[in-house]
Amino acid sequence: MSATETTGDQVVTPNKEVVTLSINGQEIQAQAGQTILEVAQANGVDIPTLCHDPRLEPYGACRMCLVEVEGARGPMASCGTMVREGMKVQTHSEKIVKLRKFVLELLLTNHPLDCPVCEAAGDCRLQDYAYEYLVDMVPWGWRAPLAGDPGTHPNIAHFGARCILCGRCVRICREVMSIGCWGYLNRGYDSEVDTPYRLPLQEVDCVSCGQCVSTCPVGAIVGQRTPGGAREWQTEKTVTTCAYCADGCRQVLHTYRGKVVRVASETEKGLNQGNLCVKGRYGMGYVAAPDRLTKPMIRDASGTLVESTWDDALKSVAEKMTAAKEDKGGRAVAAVCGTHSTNEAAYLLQKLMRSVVGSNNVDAIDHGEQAAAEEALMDGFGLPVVSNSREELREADAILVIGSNLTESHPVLALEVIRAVRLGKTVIVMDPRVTELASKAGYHLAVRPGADLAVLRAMVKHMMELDLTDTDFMAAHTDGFEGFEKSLADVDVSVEAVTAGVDAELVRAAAAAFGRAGSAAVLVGTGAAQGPKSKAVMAAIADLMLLTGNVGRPGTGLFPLRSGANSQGLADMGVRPDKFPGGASVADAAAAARLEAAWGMPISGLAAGVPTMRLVDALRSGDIEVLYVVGADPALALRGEGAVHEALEQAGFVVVQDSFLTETARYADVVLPAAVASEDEGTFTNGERFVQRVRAAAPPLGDSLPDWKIVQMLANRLGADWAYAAPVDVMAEVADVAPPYRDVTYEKLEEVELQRPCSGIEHGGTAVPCSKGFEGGKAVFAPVEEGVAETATDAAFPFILITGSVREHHGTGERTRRSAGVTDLVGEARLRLNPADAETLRVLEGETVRVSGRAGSAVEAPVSLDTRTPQGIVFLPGFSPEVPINHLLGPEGSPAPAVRLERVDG
Amino acid sequence: MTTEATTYDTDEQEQEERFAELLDRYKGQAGALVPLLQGGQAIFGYLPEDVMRRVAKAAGEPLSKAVGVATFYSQFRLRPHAKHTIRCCHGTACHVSGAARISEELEKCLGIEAGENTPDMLYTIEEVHCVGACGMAPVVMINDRAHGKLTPEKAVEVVKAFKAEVEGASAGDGRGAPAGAGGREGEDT
Repeated sequence: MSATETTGDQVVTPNKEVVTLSINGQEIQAQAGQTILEVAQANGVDIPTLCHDPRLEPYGACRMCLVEVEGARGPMASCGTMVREGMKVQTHSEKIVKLRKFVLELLLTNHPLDCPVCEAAGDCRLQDYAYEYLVDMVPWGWRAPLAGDPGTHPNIAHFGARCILCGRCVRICREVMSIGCWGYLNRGYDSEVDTPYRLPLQEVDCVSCGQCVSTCPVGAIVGQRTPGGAREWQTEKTVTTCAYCADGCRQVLHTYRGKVVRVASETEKGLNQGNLCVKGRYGMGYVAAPDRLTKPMIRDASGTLVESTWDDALKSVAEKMTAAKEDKGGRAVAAVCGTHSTNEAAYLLQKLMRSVVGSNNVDAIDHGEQAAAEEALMDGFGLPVVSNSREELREADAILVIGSNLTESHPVLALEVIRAVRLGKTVIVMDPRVTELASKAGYHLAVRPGADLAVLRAMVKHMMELDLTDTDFMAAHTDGFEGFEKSLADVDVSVEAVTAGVDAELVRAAAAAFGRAGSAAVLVGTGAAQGPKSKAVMAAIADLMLLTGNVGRPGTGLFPLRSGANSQGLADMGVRPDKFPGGASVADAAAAARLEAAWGMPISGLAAGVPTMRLVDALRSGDIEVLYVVGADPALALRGEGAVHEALEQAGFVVVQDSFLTETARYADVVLPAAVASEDEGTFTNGERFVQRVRAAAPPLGDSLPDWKIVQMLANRLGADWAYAAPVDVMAEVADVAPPYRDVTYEKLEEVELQRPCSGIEHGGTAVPCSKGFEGGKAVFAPVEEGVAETATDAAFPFILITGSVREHHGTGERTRRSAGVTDLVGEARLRLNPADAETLRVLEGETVRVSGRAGSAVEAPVSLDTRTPQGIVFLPGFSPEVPINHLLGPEGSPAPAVRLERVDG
Repeated sequence: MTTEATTYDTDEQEQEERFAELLDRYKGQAGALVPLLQGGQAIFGYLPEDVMRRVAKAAGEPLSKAVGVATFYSQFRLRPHAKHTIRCCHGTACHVSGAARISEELEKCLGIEAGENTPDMLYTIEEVHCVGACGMAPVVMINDRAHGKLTPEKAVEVVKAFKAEVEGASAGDGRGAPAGAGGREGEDT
């Protein structure tokens, strides 16, 4: 990843001592601190390993990597021996080869040779090395080829008999995941790896990430056998980017007979370095779901959606759009785009809307949860994006996580924070619930929902009291400090802490720890990014970073978390009602003129469009007549109590372009079948601005087509003459018109993940955009606002309802709900309720309650007793159409709703 | 005392209090897993699952690690233990002097396998690795007393004699142990 080795123009290479050694007689230069194994691998010398995984600390258990070092007392484990000046290493001497063969003989004596039916056959280190070292007989006899029972976990099979006790699963679950499902049992010859008490994996805090599957060198922990499955040598491999959250994990899709049969990961490759989460590894079932849309559909006179042809469907859409445009102008048409549309599709969608339809009404479904961060960062830093990236998060001495259940919403990015906890760094979690991360972090500020601003006020105030401010940085790079300081004059740390419901001493301790850190970063999730005070919260966080000088250096920065795979890309592509591709304002005449020239179509003078947050109102008022929905489900995603249903009912014409009949498709007049991400080509831009390739592992199902192609067909129906042969042509145009993507090319993306903005093709991109000062000169302190966004509860509506992610599902769940690998684990949306509250309400685990809000809307959900949720607060995830939580949420910008719970008898 | 038994607190409330105190004493200390397991076993006589979970939590380690340590060292017991322990040594010296046949005969005599308790919870047979009395091999220990230079027949005789003593005393005072066996000498504190 050369991207992260650069900061601006300056290449940062740690100044490490160079040592010279010889391996098998060849002279090699290496860096002090590297192991013999690392140096050998980097120089093409293959040393066999069984217990080694670069994600883990060296362990030295398997004895396969033994090498001879001249002058050493005996063979050395190369995985744990550092190189030294003048070292002479032999990796394949006669003695070493004999030792390795002996180790393999011992292992094979006890290993069932059931290779013909083993999932790992063809991808098994033991098999590879037995072949390489020709272990054709073992002196102590063979073990019967019975592997035993695979266990009951839906995705992960455990065959203890095949285990070689390398401990990689034990260590990866502890070191990387900080969980510890696997452990050793017994001693000596009786040693085994299993869960404690041999409990089923589902009963030992397993999060089904499959990291153990990815690291097991043999067939002891493998994916469960699937009916259409196939093994390593039978499948084709496609490297792509996960289409769920904004972490942007690299996946390897295994295709057999035209179907994706397995998702794998590659150690040391991609941002995720071989780690995935349950969705990424086991959430691909939707690709082959029986209800995938394969034909366009048109609603007939009787109100039924009937299968149709592309020709008729597109004709119908084009006619309605043209009519609306002629009648009321282009602004009567609006497009809303889902966060797993590729950059290429998203770019074409906004180009269609702006240049062909003549409307700036094009927005992302998640704009509401991103708006506060984008605006506050633009005001403060002049750059509405994440300021750093995850690899340098490792250099942070302190990390503050606000409003995000990170291990569930961003399970792989979360591993960097888990790592910081494990290394004893300062980790502060601000969240009403005792999330997994909160229970592991040094500081958990259990703030009342909506009161984040009070804690932030208290923290900055206390840092100023302690003089933990970076005055040099502020003098050189910031303006507006006086106003900021004045806004804090009357702030009392203890009073703020009481408002937030957090112990004042804890707030002081956390503030001091953060302020004293050499470099500190903040990760802020959608939990703090919504509600009436969201922009003030974001501005206060930006102030906090400026006050402590934690901007523009590695290990610092503000990470506004995004929930969709291409959420950042949509903003970059101009899928915003007020922004062109590249981020220029639609009011910027020069930018409009440049686009007009590039597109050959008039776009100047178009008013800013309707943002997603106001879509419900615009549909109800009739301002928008035609709604074009691409890969999103506004019926479940848009907030606004009963109004969402009403708005979609009233919409004159609704087009849904998706892979499934979504909840919104109930209101659709035309449905266009879209290919899924694993059938499409293009790019995603992840939450840290890394542009990465999406590649097709199989052809689109039935008559479905990739989004970019459908948009092009529609544009041409409406009179354009677009002729993009493939997404690569679209990216060439994006690079031309969107400055941050100037140097992004598919060729370059073959080698690295580019972090945009790219400062030059020879660079991997820009890791720390503000390292040489801020765009537009200086960063600006915002005065810290007063007040909090608390929910008013009373006797009639005594609970505060909060929502958020669950690990197994994504967004409104269209894809995860159709993937057995996750629904077998979490099938229904449950209301999390503190056991003490449950006792008062006399409800038991699994019983159904009715959750009603003040506006009269209600949903019913089964209860899950959860001590991580504090009393007085209930949590409901938003992935289920059976529990449409958006019906309970007030319009965008409302605080968390107060609700009443009633037991449903029956 | 030939029949000295290991006895434990039976008052549940007192056990709980002592255990809470133990957890408190080691909370947050690095490397406290082994003393916590030892302390827990001293209080409860063995390490039940809920005790293991609480020990792991106090030590800040995953349950898998606590179970790993408890099953690694032969001093820890995850199952309740009968009143009297009969340990058959299988160290090298005993092994070559016929420990396997002694174990077999004793198992037959008591009707249980090594690692099990008799249904009346009076006897447990354990196979252990070296009790440090190799000069007397093969060795069987009954509670804290070693019996050496055994043959399978002699071992069965020794156990039968012990049984008679235990059960005779039991018939006498109803305490399930011979006189002098009810003290706290064997308690691991």
